[in-house]
Amino acid sequence: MIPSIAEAARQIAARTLSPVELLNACHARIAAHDATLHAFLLRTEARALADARASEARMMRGALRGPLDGIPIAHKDIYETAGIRTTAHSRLLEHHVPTQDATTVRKLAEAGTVLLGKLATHEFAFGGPSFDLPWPPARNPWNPAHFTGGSSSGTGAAVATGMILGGTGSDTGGSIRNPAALCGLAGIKPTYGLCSRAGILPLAYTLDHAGPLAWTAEDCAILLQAMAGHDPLDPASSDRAVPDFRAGLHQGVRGLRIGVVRHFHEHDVKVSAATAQGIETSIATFRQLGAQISDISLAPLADYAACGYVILLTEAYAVHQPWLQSAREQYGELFRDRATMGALFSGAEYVQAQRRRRELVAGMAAAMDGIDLLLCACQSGEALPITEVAKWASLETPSFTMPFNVTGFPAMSVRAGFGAGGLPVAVQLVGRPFGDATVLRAAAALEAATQWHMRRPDLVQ
Amino acid sequence: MVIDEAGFAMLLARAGLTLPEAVAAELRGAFPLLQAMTARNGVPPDRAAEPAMIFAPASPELPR
Repeated sequence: MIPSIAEAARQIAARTLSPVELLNACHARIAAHDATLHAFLLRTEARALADARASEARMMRGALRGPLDGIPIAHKDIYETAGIRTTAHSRLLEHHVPTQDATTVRKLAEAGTVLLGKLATHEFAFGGPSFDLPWPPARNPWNPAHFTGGSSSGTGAAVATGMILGGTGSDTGGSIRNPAALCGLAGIKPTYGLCSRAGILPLAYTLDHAGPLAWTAEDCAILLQAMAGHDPLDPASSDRAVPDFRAGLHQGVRGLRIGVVRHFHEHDVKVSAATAQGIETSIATFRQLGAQISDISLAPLADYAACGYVILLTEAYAVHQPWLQSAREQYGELFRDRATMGALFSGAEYVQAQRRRRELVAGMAAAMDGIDLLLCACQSGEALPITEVAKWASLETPSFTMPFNVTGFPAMSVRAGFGAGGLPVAVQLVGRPFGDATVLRAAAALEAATQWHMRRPDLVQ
Repeated sequence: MVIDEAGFAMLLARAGLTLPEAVAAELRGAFPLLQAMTARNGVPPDRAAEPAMIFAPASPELPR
């Protein structure tokens, strides 16, 4: 039985679980499954053992630092780690060893976590799944022939199989919520500005968000608590006080007003039967739990996609322009060709997208007047076979996740069942700006009522 | 909204990129996806409509 972070923390606090034993169990699952799933790019075994022993010593002297003390985690390999190679899954950074931790890496370490290593991503969080990089892409633990979703792909695979109990991701157009949805776990893209991006390799400055992936909403709340907070090193960092994300986590959803964005999946982009069923079951569950449900309308998905991708591609090109001009052949094909598209927009087109963005933010805020949460699709269906992910798919079909990168509102992927192929499907819950605690609370209520989180991939059952 | 080879070559040159012919042809084939996006964004009717990215005067990274 793989414990959640919350359960492991309870056992560690009660001295019925040793952090070193917990680490060894994770090592055993890595040894059994990572050769198939390719979740890890680098394992930091000596560091992990030192971390676990230090945690155990704190446990024995009654000096635990909190619920993350002794918890095995790993970082998406765009999070810089002092003295530990950070590659962005790219040949260009194959030997890059940062001298400083990203702010969120430091904060998670200070919370007492045990660092097991660095996790697969799409190249620079955008170019995947790719087969022409120094490391293979991560694979879906529910069926290794299938895609994990990206770009926090290694985190998705590793959490689903209990190689780690939680991990970090980044989300520029859906890169936390996609692997969370397709690997059957919980993942929250917090409000823009809540978690520092300092020390995380950028994809698109104004769309990038840092956040956690874990097995449950409560585990995400625990990780987010450690990651959130003002950071003067990040110019987009908010100086608002961080609430206690677990304080109201189990208060249920009675009285919450939930707006269902039905046109996203019924009109804008069609979803699978299982996903549609998962959405309807989630709505019925929330209604049964006492939430007030109504349908609301936002701008069409294509509007958010147009705005978001002009910004994403232009900013990504700006980040990579020197290398795309001088060392182009060192990138994998997918990143290289996708990012190059960003060179083709004019300055005026980028500015118009940022002007349109302000309209879209205002429109979403107005639509949420009198609404606590949105519920909408997260993915169109189960994960595709890993060899069938098209190079231009994200430009051809609007995603369900990009709207909330454009507006910066907090958004979370929560399990909603399984599809015909036996892989997970999900729904997306969205809060008002800095309403992350409400999103987590609703996700926890849905998990408790549906119990989908009791099922792990067959290979670790 | 098809862009001809010369027009596309000009865009690449402006970006400082020299691409193999086959790659340029593939990207040119996908270019209408970008054109559709910029057309969809349009131009806000209010000339004073500001972009989303605006710094506050007190931002610590701005020169004093």
